[in-house]
Order: sequence, then C-alpha cells, then structure tokens
Amino acid sequence: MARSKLKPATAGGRVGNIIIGIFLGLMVVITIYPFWHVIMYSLSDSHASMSGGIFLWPRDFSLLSYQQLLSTKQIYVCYRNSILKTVVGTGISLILTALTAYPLSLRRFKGRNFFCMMIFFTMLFNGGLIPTYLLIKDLHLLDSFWVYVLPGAMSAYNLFILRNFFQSIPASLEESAHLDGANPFQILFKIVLPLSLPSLAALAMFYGVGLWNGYMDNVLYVNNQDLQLLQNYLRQLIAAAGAKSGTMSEMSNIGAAARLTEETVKMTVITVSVVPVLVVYPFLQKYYTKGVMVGSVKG
Amino acid sequence: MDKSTNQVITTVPRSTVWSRLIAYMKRDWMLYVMFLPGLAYFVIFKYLPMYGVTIAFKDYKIGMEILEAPWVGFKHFADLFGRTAFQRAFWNNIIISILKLVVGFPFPIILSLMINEIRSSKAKKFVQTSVILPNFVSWVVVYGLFYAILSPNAGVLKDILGLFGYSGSVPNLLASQSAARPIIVLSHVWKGAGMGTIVYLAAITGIDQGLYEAAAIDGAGRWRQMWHITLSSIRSTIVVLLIFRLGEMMYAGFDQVFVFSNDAIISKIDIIDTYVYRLGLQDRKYGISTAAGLFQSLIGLCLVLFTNWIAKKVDPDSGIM
Amino acid sequence: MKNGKKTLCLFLVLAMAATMMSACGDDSSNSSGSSGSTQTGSSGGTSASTSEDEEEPATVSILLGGDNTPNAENLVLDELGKQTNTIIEMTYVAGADLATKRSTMAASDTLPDLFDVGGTEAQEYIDAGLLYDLTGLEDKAPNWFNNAGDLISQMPLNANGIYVVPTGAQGWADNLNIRTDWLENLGMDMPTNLDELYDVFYAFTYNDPDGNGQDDTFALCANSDRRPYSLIFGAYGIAYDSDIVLEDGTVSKWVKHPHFLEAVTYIRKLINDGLVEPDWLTIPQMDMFGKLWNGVAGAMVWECVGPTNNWYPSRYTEEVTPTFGFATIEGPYGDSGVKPSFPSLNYGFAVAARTENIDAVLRVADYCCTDEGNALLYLGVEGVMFEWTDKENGQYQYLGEYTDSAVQRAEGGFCYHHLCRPAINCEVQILNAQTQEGVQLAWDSMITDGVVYCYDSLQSSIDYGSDMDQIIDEMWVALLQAGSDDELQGIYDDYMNRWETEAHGSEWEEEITEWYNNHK
Repeated sequence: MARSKLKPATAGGRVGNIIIGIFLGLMVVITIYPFWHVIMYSLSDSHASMSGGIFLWPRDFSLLSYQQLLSTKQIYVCYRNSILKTVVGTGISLILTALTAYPLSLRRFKGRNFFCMMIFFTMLFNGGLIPTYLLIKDLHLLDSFWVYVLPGAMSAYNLFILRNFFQSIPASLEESAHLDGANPFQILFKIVLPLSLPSLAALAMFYGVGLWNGYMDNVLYVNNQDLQLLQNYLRQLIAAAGAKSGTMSEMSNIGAAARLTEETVKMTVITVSVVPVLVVYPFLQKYYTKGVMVGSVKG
Repeated sequence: MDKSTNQVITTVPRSTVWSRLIAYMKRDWMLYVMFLPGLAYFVIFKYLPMYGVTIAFKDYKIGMEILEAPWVGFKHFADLFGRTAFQRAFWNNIIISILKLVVGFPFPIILSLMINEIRSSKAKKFVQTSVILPNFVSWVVVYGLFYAILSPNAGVLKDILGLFGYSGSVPNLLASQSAARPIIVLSHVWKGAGMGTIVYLAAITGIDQGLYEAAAIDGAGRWRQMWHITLSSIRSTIVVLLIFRLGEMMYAGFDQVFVFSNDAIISKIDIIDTYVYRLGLQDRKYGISTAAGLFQSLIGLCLVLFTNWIAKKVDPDSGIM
Repeated sequence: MKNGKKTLCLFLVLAMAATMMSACGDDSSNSSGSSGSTQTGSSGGTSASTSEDEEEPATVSILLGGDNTPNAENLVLDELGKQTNTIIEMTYVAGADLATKRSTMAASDTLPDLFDVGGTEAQEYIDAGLLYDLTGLEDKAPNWFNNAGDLISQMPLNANGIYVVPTGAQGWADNLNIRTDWLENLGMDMPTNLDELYDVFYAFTYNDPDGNGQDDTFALCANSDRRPYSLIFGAYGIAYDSDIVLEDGTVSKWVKHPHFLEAVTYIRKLINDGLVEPDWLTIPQMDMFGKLWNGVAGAMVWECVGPTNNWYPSRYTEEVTPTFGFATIEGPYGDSGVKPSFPSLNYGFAVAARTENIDAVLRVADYCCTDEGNALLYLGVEGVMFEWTDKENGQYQYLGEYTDSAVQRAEGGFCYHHLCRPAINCEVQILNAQTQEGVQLAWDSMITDGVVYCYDSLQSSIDYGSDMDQIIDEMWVALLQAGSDDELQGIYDDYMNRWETEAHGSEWEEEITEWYNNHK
C-alpha cells in the first residue's frame, strides 16, 4: 500500500512498532486462548479432561463427542435452517438498511430529524414480549420461516452506523451525480454503496452473527421442529450442563454409555456453532483491509 | 363568525405546511419511496406493539387484554423504588456501568488504531480474527475459565505464583468484594473489544488514502497522522457509538453478572437486571419488570439527548439527529 | 445504459416488495396449512367424541420443557400416538425457556392441549378461564387421577373444580454418601454422630484415604449451598431451607431455629480445618461433582440416585470404582434426619380450555401415567429400543444401536418421561438395590416435626419472597466467612434485622402463622 511506503522509519517509529507489537501479541494470546481451550477440551477424552486446568493440547485425543453430536438427523435439519436464516436474513437486512439509511443521510430529505428520532426511540423502548407475540400471530408469521428474518430485519443501531458512513462520503460526489440527473436509486447503488463496502461488510458481520446466534425467535414463534435452529438445538443439548442448572435426572445418562461429560459436550457444541462464523469471516474481512480511494471512483 | 375566523387562521398555515411538504415530496419522491419500506418496518414491528409499555402502569395478569387491564398509576414504580435491595442494585448498576464505559469504550478505539498500524496484511487479518473470538464464547464458559485460572485451590494462578517461589495462600478473587467489580469490568472489556473494533476498522478503511499521502508529504509522522487524520476522520463514528453506549447505561450486562455472581460478592455487583430477574422468579411480576425496563430506558433517553445536544454544540454535523 | 440502471433499480425495489409480499403470502398459506392440521385434528376429535368411531386419530398438542434434542419425528412419539389413537404434536422447548413460552401462548390464547403449570401462574390461568375443568371426567383417565388421589382435592388451585392434576411424586431426599472403600482403607466405621463424622472427615483429608501417598484429598464436596450440610443441620434438628414452627407458635424461616448458630459453628470448623471443598464459594456445579468422580473427595450430600445409580460406574474415573454407604448422623440433642420433600400441591399437568378433543387428551395423559406408558417415555419402544430382562426387579437392556444414549434420545427415549408421570415411575423402578435402599432411608429420615409445608401462594411471599431469600443467602455466606465464632451472633442479628424490616419478613411471619393455624 502506498501509505506504508511513505511512513518514515524514524527511531520513534521503531519504538512505537515494538510497543504495538507487544501489546497486540498479548491481546492475541489472551483472546485466542479461551477459544483454543474450548476446541482442545472438545477433542479430549471426557475423563482425562475432568481434572480441569489449562488445555494447550488435547488430553487423550478423542472425537467421541463430535461423533455423538453429528450422529443425529436433527442437527443437519438445524444447520440447514440456520444457514438459510442467516443468508436470507443478512441479505434482506442489508438491502433494507441501505435503502433506509441513504435518505436519512441526505440533508435535503425533509423530516429526517423526525424520522431519526422516531427510529432511535425504538432502540430504547419496546412493547415487550406479549404484544410482540400477538403482532406476530396477527401477521400469520407463527410457525413460518419468515419469522426468523422479518421481525428483526433492521436494527436501529446498524442503521445509524450505516447512515453515519454514508454521511462521511464527500457530499460533492452525490451532488454532482444528482445534478447530472441520476436518480437516488442509481446514486445509492452505483456510487454510495461501492464506496461503503467496508461498512457494509461490518454490517453484514453484525447482522450475520446476530441472526446466527439468535434462538429466542425459534423458542417463541416456531413450534414446528422441522424449522428448528441450530442454536436452539445446541442450547437444549447443553442446558443440562449449565453452571447453575443441571438437574439430577437430566444428567443421569447423557453419556452413560459413552463416557461423555456435559463439559465436553458443551465445548463441542461451542466449536460446532462458531466454526461456520470463522469460515465466513475472512471473506468479509477482505473488505476492511482493502482501503478505498475516493478519487478513483467516478460519478 | 368567531368560528369561521378561527378556521381561516388555522387553515392558512396548515395549507402552507402541506404545500411545502407536497413540494418536497414532489421533488424527492424517489427518496421517500426508498425510505418507505424501512419506515413501514419500524411502524409495524416496533411501534404497533409499543402499547405494551402501559403494563408498567397496570395490573396486568395473563388472560387479560393488555388495553383492558386496570390502571394502577405509579404503583409498580413506587414498589420498586421502595425496596432497599433495588436501591443497592441501582447504585451498583451505575458504578459498574461507568467503569465499563470509562475502561471499555476507549479500548476498542485504541485497539483498532494499533491494528491499523500493522503493515503485513496477513498479520493484520490474524489479529483481527483472534480479537473477535471471545465474543463467541458464552459467559458460562468464560466463568469456567476464570475459575480454572483464579481458583486458590487448583488454579493456574497458584501454579504460576509457585514458579516464583510463592507458596502462601492465594486469595479467592472470584469471591472477593474488592476484586468483584474490576473482574466484571475487565472480563467485559476483554470479551467485547474485538467486536467493538469492527466498526472502527471499517471506518478507518473508509478514509481517503490521499489524505495520508498529503500529510506524509507535509512531513507528518506516524503519531501526527494517527491523531490528525485517522482519529479525526472516525470522530463522528466515535460520537455516534458513544451516544448509543450511553443509552444502554442502565443495562450493565445481565448474563455476565448472573454467571459471576455469588452470595459473597452479590452486594457489590447485583444490578437492576439481575435483581428484577430474581423478583420475577417468585412470580412473573409483569408490572414491576416492565416498570423497571421503562425506568432504565428513560434514563438512557435522557443521557442520549444530553450527549447528543453537547455533540451538536461542539460540531453541528455530529450526533445522531 | 441509463435505462438499464433504471430497470435495475426498479427491479430491486420490486424484489424488495415481492419479498415482503411473498413473506406475508407464504405465511398465510403456511398458517392456513398449520391451522389445517389442527383442523383435521379437531374434525377427528368431533367425530371421535360424537360417535364411537375411534378409527380416525385426533391431534393432541403438548408443550413440554426439557434439555434433550429428539428428532422432529421419532419412534417414541409415533408409538405414543399409536397407543392412544392420536397424532402427537409435541412442542419441546429448553427447560429455561418453558415459562416464557407458556405464558406467551397463554396471553395469545394459543395454549396447547396438555402442559404443566403451577403456582400463581396456574391461578391466573384458572381465573382467566384458560384451563379445562376436568370435574366428572375422572373415569376417562383413571390411572392419571388415581395416581394423584387425594392430592387433587387438597390443592388450593382446585378449590372450584379440577384444573391441575399433580404427579403425586414424593421427590428425592438427601443422603450423606460416604466412600466405604476409603473407610476400609483407614480402618474406620461409618460415622453415626457429629464427633465421629469429624474424625472420619479429618482422616479423609489428612490420612491419605486412597493410599496413593499424596496429600490430594479432602472429605466433603460442597458449594455455597446449604445442601452439603443437610445431615449436619439434621443432627441439630433443623430442616434447612424449610419453614418451621418456633417455640412460641409463630412460623418462621429455618434460620430462626434455636440451634442454628450451633450448627453453623460446627460447619465452620469443618471448613476452617480444610475438610470441605476449599473453593466452595465459587466452584461451578459440574466441577463439584467432578471432585467426587475423580476420587478427590470422599463424601457428598445428594440423593443417592446420583452417586450409586446414575453415575455408576461410568462417571468414576479411578481405576477401581469406589463404593458408597449412607450415613445417619445423630446430634448432641438426639436429633437426626434430612430436609423433607413433599409431593407438590401447587403444580401439575393441566388441559387447556380451548382443547377441541378432551377425550383424546385424557387418553394420552392416562396412558403416560401407566407403567408401560412411562416405560415408553423413559426407556423407549419396548421390543425395538429396549427389552425387560427381569421386569419384576426393574432389569432391562437397550437393544442394538439404542445402547448409545444419543441415539436413544434422538428417537425420543428419556426426553418426555416427565409427561404426566406416575408417582412410582420407571425411573424409580429401575434403580439398583442399594439405591432403592438409600432412597427409602432418606425418605424415612425426613424431619417433618415442626416443619410447615405451605402450599398456598401467600401474598407477602409473592411480593417479597426473593428479597427475604436473598438476605438469608447472604447471611449464610457471611456467617461461614466470619473471622471468628464470636462475631456470629452480631452478624446474625444484623442480617435478621434487615430481613424483618427491609425484606418485610415480619409481615410474612404473621401471614404464614395465620395460615398455619388455619390449616393445622
């Protein structure tokens, strides 16, 4: 990148590099370790891992918990639903958020302060569980796939972040296109969005993670087990192993035949649910590292 | 006569407002079309159920229509505020929130600036990915890890101290009243920092690279570039996120506190959400919990309006509305 | 080119609109589909109820909480449907989400046919007319009603009809499970009083009971709960966490028992001498169990169903599987025992008033409450998933792939066993001999004298129950953590004062005393 070439390699710069390096190195260690611990624990034999402590490598390597987890039919149904929900949901959310954020970023859009206030209000106040449930019922969204993607389609938080990014694009670009007779849809899709790829990637990440991790919509609105989500499935699997729950009878034979403890199951479940996120993340990440040259984009 | 003049007086400005609005709509009708689906979304999914907040002022029981439940005025608020345990939770909530804000808010910014300084793009990606990992590990597991490290009996901390020749007893930090809040704050920062960097990194990436080139030609060093270009370019993002953060001031992290809490330290870390949760265990208490939520939101709203006002004073273009 | 852009934009907008529309369209079709399925259920129901034509199975919807992950369609539900001539529509949610799910369903009048409910929530449902009055229908589900017997009419919820049918199950009581192989190694006998108990615990901690030459054991598994000390409290005549009658006739919390601080002093000695789990304050539950399973601790207070049956032997990691015995501990005043557990008079299964086929629902409830029905729900389909080897003595074996508990549960085994469960159920019947003995011992040693079991929902307890409990919880830990025994009384007075005023404990005392005097 042009920028790094231009940076003067002064003594101060070198000291700065060292400080930053040490700091980030430490940060990486303390952020990776917990996840590493989870993966290594899930790959260990249950009995061997029960003494606790630190896991740098698996103890008595075992894939038993993965075999157990992936041996049932239902988990694949859940995987399919969760992936579908995340992909469709992220798509709808991004389009809707972009369409809504763009007018709000323009000064000439009259009423934008009112609309902003109105939307902001929904971040703080909500009607609560029961009225929302009744609404979903009246909209005939109960027990349908769309209940996963429509009621949460937009978050005011993400909307404002995107609006803010749109505002940071030089107004002159938009104005000249406007004067050239381009309509708002053309400006949004041809000029604004291509310039906002990093922020769209960030938003996709937020929406995607939220959709992937959410399970309450499943619990409340969907009874049909063919529409069950992965997180809901996994939640039931590990609920018995929760720190403060764990009733006797539920525990009685989770792994009775298989020498599995709840802790191992829990660690496996976490791994299984996070790996898809980590697979997708680098594709989005690409857009942060690229950088944008405003001058190179033509109106 | 009086009536008709009144009518004339009221209709004149009305018609001008209308005609002006129609003029705007005509001019920018496509913008309004574009905005319509989003508006419909917020009206349908957020505003239609909003009548539910009235439960805070009603004696609602299951089986009633919410709108028909009897009004009880501020009874639930009085009940809630009158409880000593709630007052304790309220102050804990404020203290923990402020600590989380002061430590936790700047941290992702600093982290993003540092990540942005990495030149190797592979290393950059690696660091970026690793810092978001804690976000995906649930608080229950995080507690398990903290326990494995800090346990005075079998923890790693004890082993490490042992390496330095220390063999005395190790205090149980997870049950120590003085360590309780710092542990809550630090674990919060650690878990949330990575996701926090995503927006900032996206904002930094969006900065026109030409600015750096120009600055470098002017002889600005790394720190000056960081300060004058990077930080000032993402300033408005920072302000927006800060305002949102203040709106959530009264929500101090239920899942986390719930998991870390024990009866030795609960007097230091019990927060509004955990307290209201316990109230609801006895009996669902829709009125009180809705009242508590409304109270939390109202305080958030005040903080947001106040900071937004200040932000506007300083820079008319910043703020959220 | 420009036109192309325009059409693109138009297309996008249309696509958006189409998605929204199709969403709604799809939903209505979907919902009509699902309501269609309930329609078939109801039509089947009416035909079944109006005529004796039993051929068409009726749909019965059930809401159940549980932490397993059965397949959407599985052998157990199929078999249950076949046995009762129904189609079972099971909604199975995580235990933690059950209450939320149920109350939203109730609020929107979409309750399923059969579900469990209790306490003030059940009373609200009854008041709102959401529950079916089962009066007069006893003959249609004889097993279900007879199992609960007199309990039905004793329940306050059933004051004006039969709305909630309890399980009648007693519930487990605690055992003090002590490792007999360690006792043997040390040449000691099973302790019978507090002094012997101390000696045994001391030896378990400091005399290398497992003979491995290392100082790596302690005696008692514990967390910050009172439960690990159940038998110690019992030895002082105290049923922990219970409401008790004081000498002056008032009813109050167990901590007001005259020997409470004495018991605390004894427990403090165990903790301070290092005989108890050192991380008792912060240890997660699974880690606490782990200490027993790994052979680090030699005693645990828990229903023996865990240590000698369900965890046996797969949970234990030592090369030689430990053996356990159950202790009875007598105190200085000749008392002994454990906290009592009572059959619930405040909770059970209920049928929704909106049910369209009460007969079919009752058939399901009744079948689940039979021995074979409960065995189906607990073990699976007989002859396919398991078979009895000695039914009289509760001996059974899983068949083929169902020996793998994951497969067994995926096909519905175990997942639904608490649905209308009989009091003497499959879980009890298949316990091994030692455990059955231990369970009986625990039940026999329950302290019931002077213990008040209030099954009504008292207003003061609805309003301030959690505040009261919290203060006692904090006091309990403060007492155990106090610097010296001399401070105990001061700490106690301080917290109890807060309990009476801040948490409205005195109001509750008055109310429950009055209740007790009316219900003696």
